Amino acid sequence: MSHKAIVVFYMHGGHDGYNMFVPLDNYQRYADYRGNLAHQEGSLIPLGIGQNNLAIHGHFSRTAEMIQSGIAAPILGTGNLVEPVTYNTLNQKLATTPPFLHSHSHQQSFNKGAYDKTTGWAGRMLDLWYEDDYIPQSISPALTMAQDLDLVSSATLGVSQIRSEGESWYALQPELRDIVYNLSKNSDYSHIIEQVAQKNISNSIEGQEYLQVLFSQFEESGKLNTSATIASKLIAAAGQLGHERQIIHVALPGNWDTHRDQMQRLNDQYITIDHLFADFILELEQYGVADNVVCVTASDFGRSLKPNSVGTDHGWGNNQLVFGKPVLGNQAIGEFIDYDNPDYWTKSKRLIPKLADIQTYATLGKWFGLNDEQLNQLFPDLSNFDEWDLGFMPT
Amino acid sequence: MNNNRRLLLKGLVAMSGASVMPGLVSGVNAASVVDDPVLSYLRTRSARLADYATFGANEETVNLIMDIGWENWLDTQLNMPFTSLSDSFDIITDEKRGNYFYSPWWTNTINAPDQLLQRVGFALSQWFVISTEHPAITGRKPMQAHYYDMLLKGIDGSFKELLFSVSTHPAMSIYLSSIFNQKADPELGTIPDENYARELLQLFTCGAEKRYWNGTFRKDTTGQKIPNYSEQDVQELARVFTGMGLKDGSRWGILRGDFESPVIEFSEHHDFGSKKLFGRTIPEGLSLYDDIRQALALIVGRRKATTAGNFSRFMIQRLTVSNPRAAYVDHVAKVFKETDGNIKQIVRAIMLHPDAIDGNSSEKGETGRLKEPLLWYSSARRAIAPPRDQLLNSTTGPLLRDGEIRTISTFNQTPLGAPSVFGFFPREFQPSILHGQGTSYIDYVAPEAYLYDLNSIVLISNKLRSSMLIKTEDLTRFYEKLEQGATNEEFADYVLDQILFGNYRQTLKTEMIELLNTRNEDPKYYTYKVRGALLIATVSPDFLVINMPQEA
Repeated sequence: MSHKAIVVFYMHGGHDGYNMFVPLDNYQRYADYRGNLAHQEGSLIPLGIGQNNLAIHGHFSRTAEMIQSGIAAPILGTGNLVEPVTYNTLNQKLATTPPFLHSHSHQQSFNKGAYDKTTGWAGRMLDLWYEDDYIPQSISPALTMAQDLDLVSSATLGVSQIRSEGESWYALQPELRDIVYNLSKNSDYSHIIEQVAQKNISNSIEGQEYLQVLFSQFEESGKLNTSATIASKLIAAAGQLGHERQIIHVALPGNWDTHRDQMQRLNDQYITIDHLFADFILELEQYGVADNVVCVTASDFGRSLKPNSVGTDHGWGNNQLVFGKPVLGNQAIGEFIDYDNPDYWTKSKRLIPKLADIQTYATLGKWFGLNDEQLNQLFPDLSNFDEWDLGFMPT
Repeated sequence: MNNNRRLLLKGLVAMSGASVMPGLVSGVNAASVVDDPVLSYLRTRSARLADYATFGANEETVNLIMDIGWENWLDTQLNMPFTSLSDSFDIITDEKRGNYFYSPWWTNTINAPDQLLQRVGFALSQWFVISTEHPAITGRKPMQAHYYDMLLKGIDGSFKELLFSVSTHPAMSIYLSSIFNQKADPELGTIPDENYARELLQLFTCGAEKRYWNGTFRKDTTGQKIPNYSEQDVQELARVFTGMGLKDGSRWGILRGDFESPVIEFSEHHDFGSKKLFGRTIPEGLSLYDDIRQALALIVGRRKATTAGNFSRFMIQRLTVSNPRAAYVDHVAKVFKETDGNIKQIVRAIMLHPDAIDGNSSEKGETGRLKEPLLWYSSARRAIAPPRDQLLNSTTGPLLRDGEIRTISTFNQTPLGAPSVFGFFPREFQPSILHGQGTSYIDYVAPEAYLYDLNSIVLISNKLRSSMLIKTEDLTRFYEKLEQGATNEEFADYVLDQILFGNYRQTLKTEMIELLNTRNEDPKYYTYKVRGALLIATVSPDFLVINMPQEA
């Protein structure tokens, strides 16, 4: 059985991807736009890729190494799209766009494929992959370590949300545990909300007991935070869990909605996540499972290129990162901003994405083993984009 | 059941003590209630009403509701002065010489006599969300307490007044970055920050999409929801919230000054130009406060139905049932309209509506609500512990130490600590079990289920157990019951009456008796009986759900 896993590192709040990647060609133009948020040219790490001679923020030294060693790639100018949009088609209302372009909840839902639905794209991707073959396990292959269920919610597989490795259950000694568990399975509880409660109880008892045993086999490096530690162990244990495919949602620590104090806050948070990215791959290598795991960043939206006095506002187009052993790295996917092309600015001076985030997700889905028909079913808007495969995964 | 009794029942529970003969309802002896099917049924229902209106039914509250009637009880509660979080905070902080927030919060939550106000305040804190997750809020605990008090105080007033207080409170201004927000600077090319304006519309008032009074969404001819505002509206509204700084602040842009007074105008940074909102004009030259007042009046005035429907549905879901009928929301929203958004009247309407009281009036004949984790714990503690008068004094100390209730890691929920402005959970979250049930529950939601992950039940059970480890005075009456020679069945009856007030499935009682039968009969080991029975009662589906029982 060949196992594959996708890990989505989410930056809740809308990360400013234009703070993370900077073009060295035409640097002054960038600095003019960014004003007080422009980075010193000397502080950036040149990557030597992309049309604009791309550089990465100086706090991403280990990520830069991953890019240059060929296991990571930036995805530039990407965001939530229904179909390709330009300034003109937008203002003449010729193009359909995701509703409420600068609203956190709407753009997150859209990005997670959860708009007005009860499932997210990751959950549905797993539904499609497993079809009807999946035998329910204590732990679902649709996994979230975040206080966020939308992305991985699945129609057929449920979701397992895990916050901590747990503590031994001393409150419920065996006989108490059995009673509580029996009650959670008892059919006398006919009221639907009672059944919701029962499900919460039985999930927790089964899951907690199972994970205790499972996790104790692995010795972690201690370098990762709790969420990433759990994620790495779930991947390492995929065989025992009966998971041929997994999608795991991990929230990146920090506040990404940087209306204020953007410079300082992102400087600090970048140090943390740079190590998290690199150490996560090392941890997977340690467990011998790094070869079949791909990680991708995601966020609500990008941010306004022009700052307010001390931060940035909700935007649209953004830059993301994909990394992991199978990734065809050391290349830039997409293009940085073409400043002179007014087609890609909205009226309120937000950048319009050229690539759709679903292109990234479909590229990953293809690697997962879904065929074109399934991918079009999963992302109905995909057919609006020619040659949607972004080419960062081997075929 | 004979007719007289049925009438008595209807009168007592449905409306108020005043509508039945007082002689029949006052002075009910709780001990005799269990044996009388009618009174026992009333007790059960009164307990569920108490669950709506407090942080958990307990003996004292249930008796009082039965004694004076639901409506009188509500009015008594609504007319109480609120118990201030700042005051409790000050007492604890003085004594401990530390910075505490959660101890005073738990103390008030579990023990404050004005339970209804506290409960509504907590609900409002989930609508007007600020969060200690924000780095500039987390350390400012007096400011957090002051914000919470502002919500409690705002219950005695209108929605619009509260909206003004919220919009000018330093905590909110910090959280949604309206503080030090500057008017556009054409030279630098900066524009005002839109953060507060956007969430004010989306989360604090009308919501992104148009609703009817009854809380359901309007749709256009193609079946799409209709936006309530445009990006231009957001940008114009953002200009209102400019030039806001701290009172007694030394300098613009420096977070120093008075965090417990409304923000004040810094004229050089306020945008005095006219603003266009919803097709109306806010005239030029207005002060910050007048600008805000006009903007709020425009939002609530021009988006009246959708604001009232949105807010009413939310408050119903937080306080009584997760899936209110449209008619229930409509009724409450109309009270919003008629009383100019008087929050006490809105709460009253929510609590007195037949759908809340009868419990069998939802579209599918089922109603009820899952307790969110904090409420689960608070209601367990309240049911177990007798009420205390003097919590915050030097001998007893705070009821719960901060260390004992390091809330987020246990509960996945912490007061004023939501992960984002969207609150602890999506307002309309539907767990998979509901959409997995074919079409019959496709419109049903159980938002609180969002907080129960694979760890929750285990962690919270452990927390409950640790609160029962020592034989404190809280537990005395349970030990006494055993010491008085109660059989295992009698003891189970007593525990279930005290914790669930009779609202439980027979199977729970059977399991509990079986457990008690396996426990050692030696009084030395009574602790295992007490703890076991209490844990089973409080970690049961029966306890986790607030569910109005059907007529006996």
